[in-house]
Amino acid sequence: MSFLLFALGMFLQTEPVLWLDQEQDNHLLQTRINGQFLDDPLVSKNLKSGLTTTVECLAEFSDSDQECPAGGASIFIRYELWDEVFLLEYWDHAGRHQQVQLDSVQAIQAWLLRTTLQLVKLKGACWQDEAVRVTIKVLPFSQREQQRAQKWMSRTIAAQQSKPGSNQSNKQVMDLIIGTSVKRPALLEFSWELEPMMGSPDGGQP
Amino acid sequence: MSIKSTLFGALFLILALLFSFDYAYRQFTVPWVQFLFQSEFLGLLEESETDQRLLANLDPDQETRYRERFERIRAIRSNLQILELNQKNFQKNLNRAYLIVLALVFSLAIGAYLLHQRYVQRNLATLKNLIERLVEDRATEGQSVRGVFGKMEQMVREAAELMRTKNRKLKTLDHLSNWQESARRHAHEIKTPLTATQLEMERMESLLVPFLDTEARSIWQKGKSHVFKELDRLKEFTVGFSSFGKINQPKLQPINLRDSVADFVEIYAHVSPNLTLEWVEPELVDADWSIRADRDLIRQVWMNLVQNSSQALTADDKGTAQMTLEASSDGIQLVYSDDGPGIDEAVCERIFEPYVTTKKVGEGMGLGMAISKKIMLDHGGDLEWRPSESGACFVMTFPRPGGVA
Repeated sequence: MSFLLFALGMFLQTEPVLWLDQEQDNHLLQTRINGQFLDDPLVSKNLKSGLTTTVECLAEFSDSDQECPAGGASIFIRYELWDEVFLLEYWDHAGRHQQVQLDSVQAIQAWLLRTTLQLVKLKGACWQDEAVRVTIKVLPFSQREQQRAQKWMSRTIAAQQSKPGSNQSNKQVMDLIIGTSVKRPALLEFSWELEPMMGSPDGGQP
Repeated sequence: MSIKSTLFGALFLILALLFSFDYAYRQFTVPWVQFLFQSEFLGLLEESETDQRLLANLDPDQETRYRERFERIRAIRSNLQILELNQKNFQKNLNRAYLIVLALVFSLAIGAYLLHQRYVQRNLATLKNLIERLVEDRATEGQSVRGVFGKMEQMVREAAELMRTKNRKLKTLDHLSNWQESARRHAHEIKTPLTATQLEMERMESLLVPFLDTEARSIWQKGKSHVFKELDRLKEFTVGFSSFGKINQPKLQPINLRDSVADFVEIYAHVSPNLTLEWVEPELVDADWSIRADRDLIRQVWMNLVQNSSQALTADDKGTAQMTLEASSDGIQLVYSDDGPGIDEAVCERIFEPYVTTKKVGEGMGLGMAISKKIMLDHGGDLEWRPSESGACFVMTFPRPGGVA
């Protein structure tokens, strides 16, 4: 029960706020994430493990015509064990890329609160009267780490099978098993239906 | 076993094996997979990383080296962490892969088994059909199977042919035995009145002839001569009936057939003025020609053949008859052939029947070949006519000691 209450609390606290800022003829869907989810025990443990905790923020419009594109942003958080600092990397829909180095989880949370993430660039007025479905997923490692782990295992098995007397055709089966087994299950996943506010997170009006 | 019951049995077997495999996999393989992903290794690697940092602090000159080691250990640890997070996925997919391979192997095995069963059933049905046709003495052309069933088919055909031959011989033997019984009775029935008639004729001669004049005596003598001539013919038939009816059972003794035939030919080479008998050395020089036979009876057969060949020729003709031996799996075959006029094909079928002859009336009763056939059948062998381009050819088959031809 306490776990459920905790999860509910986490859900409510993590709810992001959406802004729709006009830029010339387009509108930018932006958000700032509340990093309370980083206090979740699973996420907290994963942050210090050395793996790159990946936060994916996805935005989809619920229009039936599907004129509004979907979009999102990704944040990669890795604890550098040697230097004992958090290396944070951020990519958004517009292709903006930023790297920062922070000392603690609280610093990350503070950075998230003040960092505006651009999710989607919208043309026209497809967004009018439409709700936005926002999903935040916290994944235990990055796609690059996933591929590296798959290659490492495949390489190790291939080295074993290159010995005399082994069956080469089994490698393809093992690669298939590795490819389908190594997945990125979400540590946490939240989803909301939100209506964006007009303006920018800094308080500017369109 | 029907296809339905075979399929049901196969399905049950597959399910039982799959269940057993799944249970064994969970009990034995899963612990080993879990062993690989145990957290103790990750803990040790983490400690190693910490150690590298501490060493770098203690020995800053080697920091680069320690950093490299640290990065290598970290990379392996992160890979293992990722694999540990997906441990259940690995187990599940390995299990699926094993089950798929097992199911494929069993399906192939079951498929091959069913195909083999179908092949066996089809060939058995063909064999059964063949046997039924053979039993009913119907044509069996076109009935053919392959492989081991082909060998079985051949064995069945050979067995059927052997049975047919034996049945034919038994039938012939039975037939001849009936003729023998009939001949014995005829001989017995004719002998008594024949003797009585002769005695009565003599008694009448002694009583009546003294009272006859010369002319009457002449008539009496002529008549008596005719009657006695016919009585002699009847006596001859009676003797023939008797000899046919009293063919003795052979007293078998071991003899060397080659030596026996060679001796016979040497003695009787020119027994007939118009026929020369020759011995042809067999091709298999070192073969074993030992048989068990009644020497006197088989000589009777040979004499009969020689006489027939001689009687088939005219007084002016000169002919040759040859005797040789052949060996086969059935036994030893003595082949007798002449260069005479041969035997009419219409008669060949019945040549061994009693009273069937190609000779003129009064020149033979047609019992010789029947007697010869009976003698050979009593020896466990046979006497058969063999078609030849010219002349007549007969084959006497003798079983090897311990066997029956």
